[in-house]
Amino acid sequence: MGFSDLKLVYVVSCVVLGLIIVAPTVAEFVVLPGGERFSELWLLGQGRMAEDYPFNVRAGESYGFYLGLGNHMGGLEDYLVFVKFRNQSESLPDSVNGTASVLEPVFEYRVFLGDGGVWEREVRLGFEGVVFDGNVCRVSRVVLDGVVLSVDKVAVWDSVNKGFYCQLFFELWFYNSTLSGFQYHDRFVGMWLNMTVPS
Amino acid sequence: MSLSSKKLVKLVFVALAVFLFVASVVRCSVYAYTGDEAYARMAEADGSLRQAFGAVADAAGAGANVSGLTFELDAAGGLLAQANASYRVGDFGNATLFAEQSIGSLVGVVQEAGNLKAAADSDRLSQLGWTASFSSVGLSLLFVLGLFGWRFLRNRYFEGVLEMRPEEAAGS
Repeated sequence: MGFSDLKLVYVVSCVVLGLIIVAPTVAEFVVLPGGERFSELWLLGQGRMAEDYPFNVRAGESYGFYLGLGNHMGGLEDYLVFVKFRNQSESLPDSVNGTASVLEPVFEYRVFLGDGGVWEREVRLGFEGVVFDGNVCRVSRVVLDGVVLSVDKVAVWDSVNKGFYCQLFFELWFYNSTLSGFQYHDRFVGMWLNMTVPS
Repeated sequence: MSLSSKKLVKLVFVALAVFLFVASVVRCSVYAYTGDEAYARMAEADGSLRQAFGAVADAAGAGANVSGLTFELDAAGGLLAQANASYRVGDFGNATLFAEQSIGSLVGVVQEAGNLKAAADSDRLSQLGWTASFSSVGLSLLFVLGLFGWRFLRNRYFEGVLEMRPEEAAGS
């Protein structure tokens, strides 16, 4: 090894060592870009699995399922989960345009979650004032976690799928500080419910 | 004024006070809130929640552990959600009640979040100070040892060169 080579190796070694020594201080100021930022919203059945969801339902009974929410947005988030109830002819959120359903929410969950946090709760669902009249079924009230909510929906007999179908769905919104208001997060989950006659 | 008259006046005052207290309680219990009043209380609760969220988010951004405060925000948010549900079905009394409970549950949250943020900022500054100190000392040591090391290495190199003997090529 020549003298100039030795000099070069020595200087490079010193520079690398210097960078290693300075790295912890630099790391205090440099913020590296995080990964993909997103939120999760899910529904699970009674056994906390993706099965055994309430389907054939009737008035006066109570049904359980789990609603969950996960935050991977990189900070504390203020979420709003709107609960909406519709029949087959009413609108769902538009996944293509990313717009929420125009239906009024019947209930809401307000959740504050830190980054990486998960919120999950068991939801109890029931129905009151379910009246069958020919090929229509009128649902007056939904009971969610013991809170009686007026919905007043009419489900028409579906001759193809053989049932009176309604859908309970959950839309995820989050607080956008730039807009100073809640913004639809383009995520929703729901379950179809077949209203049946009490035995 | 005789003693009995004084007692009588005292009795009348006490009776009057009791009457006023009972009347105010009865009045409160039968007071029905209007939709506007409920809406105003709910808006106030939402404002409080927003303010508390901002403070807690700032504290979280500064690196403070805000899990306890998040729990309080959740509770207040749940109460406000119930207020909204009551309002939608026209139960303005319960809507107002839940909104007031939500406001009440947030008392002290902003201040606590501020304290946590200040503590987190202080911890961060302290940590930064220590890290910068270690880096400075490390760089200084590297500089000094580097100079000595280079001198040592250079001398060893030249000693090695001077000790070298010319070798005769085979067959010459």
